[in-house]
Amino acid sequence: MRRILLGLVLCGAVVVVVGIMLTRERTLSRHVEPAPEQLVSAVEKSHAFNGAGAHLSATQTPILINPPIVAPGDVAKAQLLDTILKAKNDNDPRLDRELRVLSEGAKEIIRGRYAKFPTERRNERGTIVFLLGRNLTSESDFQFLHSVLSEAPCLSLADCKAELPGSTASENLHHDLGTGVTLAYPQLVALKSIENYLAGSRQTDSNTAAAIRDLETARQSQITRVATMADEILTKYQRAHH
Amino acid sequence: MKLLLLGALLAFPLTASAYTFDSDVPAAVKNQIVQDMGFIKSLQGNNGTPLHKEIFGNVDGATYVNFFETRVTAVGLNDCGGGKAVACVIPMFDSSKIWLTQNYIKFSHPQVAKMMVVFHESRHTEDANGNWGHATCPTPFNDANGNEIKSIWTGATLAGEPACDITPLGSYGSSTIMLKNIQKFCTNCTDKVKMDSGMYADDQFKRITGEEAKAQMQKDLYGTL
Repeated sequence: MRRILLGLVLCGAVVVVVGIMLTRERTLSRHVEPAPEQLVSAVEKSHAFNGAGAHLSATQTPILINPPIVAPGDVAKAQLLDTILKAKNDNDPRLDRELRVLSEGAKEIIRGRYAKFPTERRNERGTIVFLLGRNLTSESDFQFLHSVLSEAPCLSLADCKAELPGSTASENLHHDLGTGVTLAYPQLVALKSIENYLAGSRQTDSNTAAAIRDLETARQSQITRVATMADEILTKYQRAHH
Repeated sequence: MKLLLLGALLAFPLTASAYTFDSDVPAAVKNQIVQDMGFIKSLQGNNGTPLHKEIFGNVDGATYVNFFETRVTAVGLNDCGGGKAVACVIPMFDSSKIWLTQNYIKFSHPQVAKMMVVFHESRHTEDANGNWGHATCPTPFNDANGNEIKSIWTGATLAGEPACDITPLGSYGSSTIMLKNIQKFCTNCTDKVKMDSGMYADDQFKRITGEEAKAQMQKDLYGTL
């Protein structure tokens, strides 16, 4: 009798533990896979209309107008991007295969991912700009680049909002290899994307005008290397078209 | 069985390197550089510019790894004197040892940018070449657009500081040449890696201040004078 009781108690305990685990799994799954309508980005919402807002930032919020339809394949692409970024492998061939062409729905979700990364995650943010920058087909795309180019300068890789004190010893000055590029990485990638767009053959009048507007904004950037690069691209474009 | 095999495969890269790790190197730092060296090792290419061939050979992962492993025998953990550095070599401690900082995993640099730093530092291990000590940057030290080149860390001008090279073969020159060649000749790099390589190489090129060296690299990497 005792054994039967003990068995029943053990079975009960197992059922309770499995139940808790399944509930938890379902909750986690919900976090990983939000409904498409939840994935519409704040960025897109904030820029939903007519290019307004010369000082929009990628974290501002919202009035949503005509959000694109998000298909299951779009969600899958965003999840693949999450996997690649987590693995920190910039040479994952899927970046050029599965993520080369993005639908409006996929772009919408991925724009949302951008705002979720802390500003210090320069490579992750820049990678997202790179992917979206290969798919510049709509006004929303250029509005997104505009918001990236309008961001406040990132002052240090440890904390974008604060310039942390560092050693000023002469022998250490040569160690800041590439730091300036990384600090401005998302912005520089945005400019490269615009440069590629202007050199390509799939331009439309309205998108080209938006690209030029983005460059003019970037030319006023507080980040010297961004302003310089924007000026170079703009000058090159104007020389070629006048 | 499958799990065992997978475990063995995952563990292999951690034990396959020729260099040793100090016991105080955190696992996350160790894993990251092993992964990043694995990325470098995977690169394929079938060509190289003359300067690249002189320093490394053709663009090729195994060649890069060989370059690194014939110079660096150990990896340690250090703050490299600044709090913002990613890596350094301290010849007076051990000229064939490269020191990584916690920033190696903390800072979000593109992968090829981290490798640029690592290969820059690995050039500094060469005792036979005076560790390729840097040259003093000229005064004034301006870029092509007339903007003064300053330290990103301190805002101080680099003019008069030992943060330049007057040879294509030093640390700045060799890492610039490596990245520009990856951009030009890598056959299995993603577009992102190629873009990053070009972007960081173009930036590093500004640290080459010797007129002869600049002209040589301009011709070698950009095909112009």
